[in-house]
Amino acid sequence: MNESRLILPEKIDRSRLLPENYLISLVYAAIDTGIYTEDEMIEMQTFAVMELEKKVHAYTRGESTSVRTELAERFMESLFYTAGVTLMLLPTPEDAVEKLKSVSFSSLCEEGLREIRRRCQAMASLATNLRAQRIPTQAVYYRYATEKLIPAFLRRYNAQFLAQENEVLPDYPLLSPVKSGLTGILFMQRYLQRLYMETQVLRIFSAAAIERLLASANPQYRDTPENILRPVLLSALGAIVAGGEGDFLCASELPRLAEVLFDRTEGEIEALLSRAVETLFSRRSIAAPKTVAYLLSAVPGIAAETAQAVKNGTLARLYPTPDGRKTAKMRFRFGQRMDDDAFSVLLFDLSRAGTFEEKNAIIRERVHSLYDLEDLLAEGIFAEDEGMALLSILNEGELAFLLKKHPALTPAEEIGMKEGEIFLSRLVARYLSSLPSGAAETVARLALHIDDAVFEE
Amino acid sequence: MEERALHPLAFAANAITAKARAELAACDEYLYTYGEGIVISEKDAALLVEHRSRVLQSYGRMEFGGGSIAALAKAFCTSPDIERSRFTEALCTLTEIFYALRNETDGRASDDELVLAMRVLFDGACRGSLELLSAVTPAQVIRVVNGDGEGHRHE
Repeated sequence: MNESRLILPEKIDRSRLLPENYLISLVYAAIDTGIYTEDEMIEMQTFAVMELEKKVHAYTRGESTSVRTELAERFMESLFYTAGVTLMLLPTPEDAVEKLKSVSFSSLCEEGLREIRRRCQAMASLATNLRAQRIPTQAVYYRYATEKLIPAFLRRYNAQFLAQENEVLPDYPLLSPVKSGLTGILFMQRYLQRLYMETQVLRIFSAAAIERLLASANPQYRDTPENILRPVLLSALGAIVAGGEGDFLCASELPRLAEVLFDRTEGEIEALLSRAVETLFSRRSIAAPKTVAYLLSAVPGIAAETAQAVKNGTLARLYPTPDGRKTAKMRFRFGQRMDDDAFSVLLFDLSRAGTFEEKNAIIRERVHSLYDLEDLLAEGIFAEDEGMALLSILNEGELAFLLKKHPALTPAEEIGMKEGEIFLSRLVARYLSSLPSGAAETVARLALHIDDAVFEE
Repeated sequence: MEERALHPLAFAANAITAKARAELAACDEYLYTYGEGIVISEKDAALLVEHRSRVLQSYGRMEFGGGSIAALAKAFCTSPDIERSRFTEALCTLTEIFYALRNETDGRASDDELVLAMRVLFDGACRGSLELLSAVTPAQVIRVVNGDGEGHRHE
């Protein structure tokens, strides 16, 4: 017999439901839509307090009815979290409200606890699979996350009393972080699922090639807490967009990539990258719809960064290549400044140059000392975008030198400084803020290691 | 429009207070029978629960249910040294003493043991004086809990 299901319009606005406080936000939203009453809420609150009393009784082994306020708060959060887990599983918020009305608070908590324990078992199983499938890499944060994080979490997770808490939190960042608001088992399960999907993507490539690429993107990758899929994905997508044949983008393909992306809107870049994601999987005949969907969810962010990088001329920094490090040689030496006469002539010639390309050609031919480049930038003869383009040809060491000598200044610190110094300080700060995440931190770390001897008298 | 509480404990604050008052009200018959007519009005019950909350707050603690107030009321309602007309006032003082001792004995005695020890000391060494009871030391309480005496009046 066929049942025709009458589809009722949803009344509760889902955007009002907070994952970190699902039950209470559901109650308020339901009251506001008239499907739950204040009296029903008061009744639920009374039963919740009875459950809390039971919990305190269990915790103190019946010896006391009072506990520290902070502990009482955490116990109550745990009760509502556990009951909320039961309700969050239902298809609609209206179904959740129906359940809230028909089932005792105690039963909700019991069901929630059973569900949490089931999820813990599912996590243990997935973590075992992940450990077996993780890629061999020297990136220690990835290794810890895939090997030890989940067992450590499960050992310390207290589902009965503190279900909402994570005593163990991951240090390894995901490509797309789990949204804020999720806590406890719900957070860790989502984190693990994403980590597993990211590992499946990494497994598409050769482990050795991944290591080369990671080292090229960041020589300190081994002990840097950064996501290793991100550079791999960017390079792989870059190769596809540039029409390359290899798994990863080569340095020689960067101009082609820049050409393809030139003058494209962010939306167009997003479309290109989305197609590249699908190509990545279809080329290898891999069917993994959830993983593809996960990668596609990261594309808008990557597209925005790409559009910015195209504008700033920093595409090479965003899209790493395995052979990238070879081309990032020091362009300038910490050599002697040119004499004043030569510098004056240089300034004159630069002022007469019509385009930035002409200026750049003059600089490439006649400027070999980083001190001279620094002086030029401080002369104020370049527009900001020209200055940004000049900085884009520098490697991390050269940038670190400029950052060391020209750190970001507060408005108060700028008072009394020369205009050129202010311009250079702001230019360096702006350029570093345009770099992909991690790159600016690398430069900052390097700057710390630069001896004050680089400062001339 | 009153701001809505989002933290679960704040969300259930009214229920916590209501439950405490209800549990105290459940002692009415006992108090009337054994306390020779002691009656705690609704107003007094609200006062006692609020007073308890303040005391607990000063120790960074919370209690659920009538708990200690009900236990103290039942334990002391038969005392000839407490005037019936000032029973609520006495309960407030007893509540303060109870939580001070609770804090200082640090889990070495259960709530019930503590209440019983207080009654023993009140009748004995404190000679029916709440002032003297407020000065008993944790060590004295633990000795009573452990059955080491010292509850008796000294001649």
